[in-house]
Amino acid sequence: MSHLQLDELSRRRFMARTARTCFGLTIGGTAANLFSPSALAADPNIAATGGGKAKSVIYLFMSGGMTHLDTFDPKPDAGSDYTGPVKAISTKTNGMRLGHCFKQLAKHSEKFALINSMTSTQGAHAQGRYFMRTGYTQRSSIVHPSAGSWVSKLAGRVNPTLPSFVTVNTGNGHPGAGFMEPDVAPLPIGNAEAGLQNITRLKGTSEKEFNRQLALRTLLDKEFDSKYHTGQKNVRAYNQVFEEAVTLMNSKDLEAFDLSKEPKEVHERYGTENFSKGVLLARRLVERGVRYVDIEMGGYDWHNDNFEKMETSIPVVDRALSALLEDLDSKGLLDSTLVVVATEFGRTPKITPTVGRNHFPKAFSHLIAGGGIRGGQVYGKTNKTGTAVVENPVTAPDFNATIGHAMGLPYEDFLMSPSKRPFRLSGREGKPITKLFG
Amino acid sequence: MNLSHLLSLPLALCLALPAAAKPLPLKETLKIAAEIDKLIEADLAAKELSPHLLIPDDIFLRRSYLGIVGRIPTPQEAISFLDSDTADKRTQLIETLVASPGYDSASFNYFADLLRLQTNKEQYGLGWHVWLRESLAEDKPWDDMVHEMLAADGHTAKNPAVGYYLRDRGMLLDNVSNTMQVFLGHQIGCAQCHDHPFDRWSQMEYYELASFSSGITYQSQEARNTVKMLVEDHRKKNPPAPPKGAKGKKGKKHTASRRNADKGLSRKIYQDFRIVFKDFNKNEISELSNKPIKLPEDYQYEDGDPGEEIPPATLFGEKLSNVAPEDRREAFASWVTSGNPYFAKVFANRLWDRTFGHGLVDPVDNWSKEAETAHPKVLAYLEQVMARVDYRTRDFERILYHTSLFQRAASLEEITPGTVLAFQGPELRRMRAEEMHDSLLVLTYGNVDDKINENLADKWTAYRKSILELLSATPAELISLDKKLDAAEANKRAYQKESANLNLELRKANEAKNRKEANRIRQTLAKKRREYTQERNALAAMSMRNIGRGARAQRNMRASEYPTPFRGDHLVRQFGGSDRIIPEAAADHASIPQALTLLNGNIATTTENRNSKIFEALAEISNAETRLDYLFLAFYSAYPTAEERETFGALANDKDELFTLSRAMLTSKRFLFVQ
Repeated sequence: MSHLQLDELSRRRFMARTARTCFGLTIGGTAANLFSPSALAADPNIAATGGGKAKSVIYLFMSGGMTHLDTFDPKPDAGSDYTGPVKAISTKTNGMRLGHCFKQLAKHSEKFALINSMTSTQGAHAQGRYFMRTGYTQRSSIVHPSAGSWVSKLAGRVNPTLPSFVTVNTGNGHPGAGFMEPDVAPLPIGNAEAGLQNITRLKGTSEKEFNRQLALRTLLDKEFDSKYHTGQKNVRAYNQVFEEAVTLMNSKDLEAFDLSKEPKEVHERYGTENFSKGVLLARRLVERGVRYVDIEMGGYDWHNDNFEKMETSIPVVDRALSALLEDLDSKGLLDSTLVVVATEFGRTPKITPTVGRNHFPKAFSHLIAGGGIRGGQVYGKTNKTGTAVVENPVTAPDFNATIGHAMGLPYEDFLMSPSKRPFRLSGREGKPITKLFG
Repeated sequence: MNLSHLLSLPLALCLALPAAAKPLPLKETLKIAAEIDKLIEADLAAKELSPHLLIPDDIFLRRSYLGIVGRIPTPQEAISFLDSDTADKRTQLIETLVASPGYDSASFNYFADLLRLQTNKEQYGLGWHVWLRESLAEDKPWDDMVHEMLAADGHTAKNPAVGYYLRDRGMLLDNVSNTMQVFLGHQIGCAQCHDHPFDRWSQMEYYELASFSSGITYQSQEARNTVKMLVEDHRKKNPPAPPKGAKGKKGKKHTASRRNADKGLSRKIYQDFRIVFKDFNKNEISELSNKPIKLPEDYQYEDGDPGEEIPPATLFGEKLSNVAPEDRREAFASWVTSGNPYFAKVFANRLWDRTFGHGLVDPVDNWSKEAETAHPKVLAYLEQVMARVDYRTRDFERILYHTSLFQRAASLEEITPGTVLAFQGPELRRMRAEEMHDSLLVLTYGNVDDKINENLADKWTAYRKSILELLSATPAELISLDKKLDAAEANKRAYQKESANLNLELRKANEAKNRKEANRIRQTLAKKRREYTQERNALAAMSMRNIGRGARAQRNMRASEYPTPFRGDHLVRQFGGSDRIIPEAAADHASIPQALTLLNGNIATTTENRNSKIFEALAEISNAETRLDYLFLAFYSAYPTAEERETFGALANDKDELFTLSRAMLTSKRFLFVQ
């Protein structure tokens, strides 16, 4: 962390304390919570409903639109036009059923809740993902921050040398920090197994030479910065990332990115796919205080051959997610780590002539676990064929508000964009699903 | 085999490239550019704004190279421009760059991002890639290119533009939405599922538009025709026994049973030739004129019923009615590309954005707020200019590069996307990912613009040849090929069995520590494997599998020469190169991994690479001052200022210090950004 930022944090903490002392109030969640997210949990409203326990989020995003009928919302009575070859299997929890590819997960049903009543207005991939990650529909004139950046901004850093927000295998469309300053932008990891590349000095470059190189860089950019630093955010962003990169090079926690430190047995439990490695990495990062890890698994756009593709993809999630829940539980981290499985939309319940399913934003499902969530419950409901939500609809803004609630963050507080428009974590009118907690 | 039907293919594919369309005379180009400046400056004056100052030679040089040919200049190229006293050297530089192979490279990157080109998707990806590259190189007008893509039909080997539809196999509705967004600047995506919430498009209109291409099936008509031919051939050689008894009803019955037998036979033949035709269904679309589009099951509006068939209709511009089903796509392609009120100006505005960093209408793919543009007259004029240059991208951009606006200082303030801009000067921008890659290449290898990846075109040619041969094969040839493939299948099984046995023997020999015997078995195994592989490869060529796949590029080639997109962990992707999932996905955000790559990565000027071009050259320069000049020219395309000479001059005396300075330059924003 740069000195500038430390100063900034100290300053805000000082202000918060002063404000409390002098006026007997907190100066808004932002400042009050910078160091301790649980401070807000003392807020009777949030604590009374079980919120404020989570310190980190692991956000697993099924990109392309995950079919709800074949996974979290099976409809065994809808007829074979709808179910295809999918069997609904029972779980440890009475009344909770899963598609047959989630064999292992079924044994952990007491740890998670299903939300079967997700609903969206965005039926195209890019727009759907954007809406889910930011809580706002895509506009041409602004980029909204993703929930990970909101959490980083509102909850602040725990580990001073690791970035608070990490993305793994997310595509180019990720909104990242949006209009926020680059200090809450994610650290993108392309390949979890390869981890962080180029993290040590070049062979043959001494520390002295390296520091000299850094100093020369500043000198070379003197004129450039005097012209553009104030007005151009991307110029500031490049100054920021170089500082962060150097901090990271010196971090004691770098080994978090080194998956070879995990025993073979653990690798086997998570699985061999890129996604499985990402989930394992997420666990290691969360153990070291990273706030938000957003991992993407692509390839869910099954317009053809839905069931063949399901048999190869879903077991990957089944395995990695089950291993993650087991590990968090055994390490005592499940209560402080919110784990979610999200997607941009569901898929048409009726099977198409090409044995596929098309985009279906009207009804779909998410999974949510840990971080104070009461496991073993199914929230919301779709009709008999999974074509419409009939109980407790949940929108992307609601879902983000729920993340904020779990972390005890002021998700309803507005923050001004540089264009002086107010935005917040809970979107336009998101409300947390408090029934999931406690 | 008969290749005579090659003659019926589109000309561009068979003959050498046609004579390049004649470029606009320079005099007229400059006149048009001046007119654009006049219009912009009049608009500025009306707002009491003045244009930014003209930039000095070194900044102009760097901006021109990066903007026009997508890379920094070499030190030699920089010197030859900076040291020249010619009065119109800026004009001349633009003329040279626009006509150089570097322009084609940069322009390919732009269009590949726009069209979401994926090279290694089946074989149509490669075909489409090669088609795009060649179309740009031969200055094929944009309206022709788009028309070819939207009307494309058949197998990729005959018409590679069909890649545009195959790219979105099974996702017709998305394809329609992208077509509107990319070519006509309209975002109708929302209306796919429901009426557009803040635009005027209804779901019904979306389906009417999609109806134009609803006849597309991702199946091979060619394969079907060939099966038909084989059935007839079989029938000819095995004539059915003449019907017994009387005519009348019985004759009818006979026809029906014969039809059934034909069906069974063709199914059997199709099955039998599966290996031969496996490729076809993945690389071909055909038009089913009787295939309508139907409203979705959950259609909720009163203007239609769920499942209702919807006839095609256009959204704006020319109304098309009663289009014959078989003409739907041709009609759609013409509606988009000729006489459409948006086609020309949307493209003109895109190229404007590409040149200056912001659209006159912004964002360039959403024209719902067109009326807000600060320069309606410029927009109208550009539309005329587009017609004048006959939609030739190179000529149009050449005009924009010749404007004074292209020579003005970049704006100090960041410009919010989607806002209305007065255009006092272009936008400051970070190098695009491919420009970054290619500029590092310049530092390591010098100018490699003329290194074209022949591998792509070669693989494509080989694939096309095989397919065309297959298509023109006689029944006898096909049957013989099929027999060979069947034999190969049997051969494969025999090989697998044999090698399994040998491996078992090998294990026994190893256990018995009979080294001599083990060696003998190992040699036999290797020999069998070699023989089998050779045979398999020969047959793979015949059965089309793996031909036209896996093209590669060499390290010293520009980004445009690689199959696209780059892998997620490649430098180009790290710096925001498009993943080719959605149109214009390229990004320029800063990230920590980028910083780490620049600080510590084995790129351009690392110790391992001290024999790269710039170090090679530096080693030969005896004068310290000239060494410093050289380094500044290599990275910044500029001579050091007097102040910089003073600050950095001492470093040029020492080899290691010079190296440290070069690493610092690599990480500097002056290198990363284009002013």
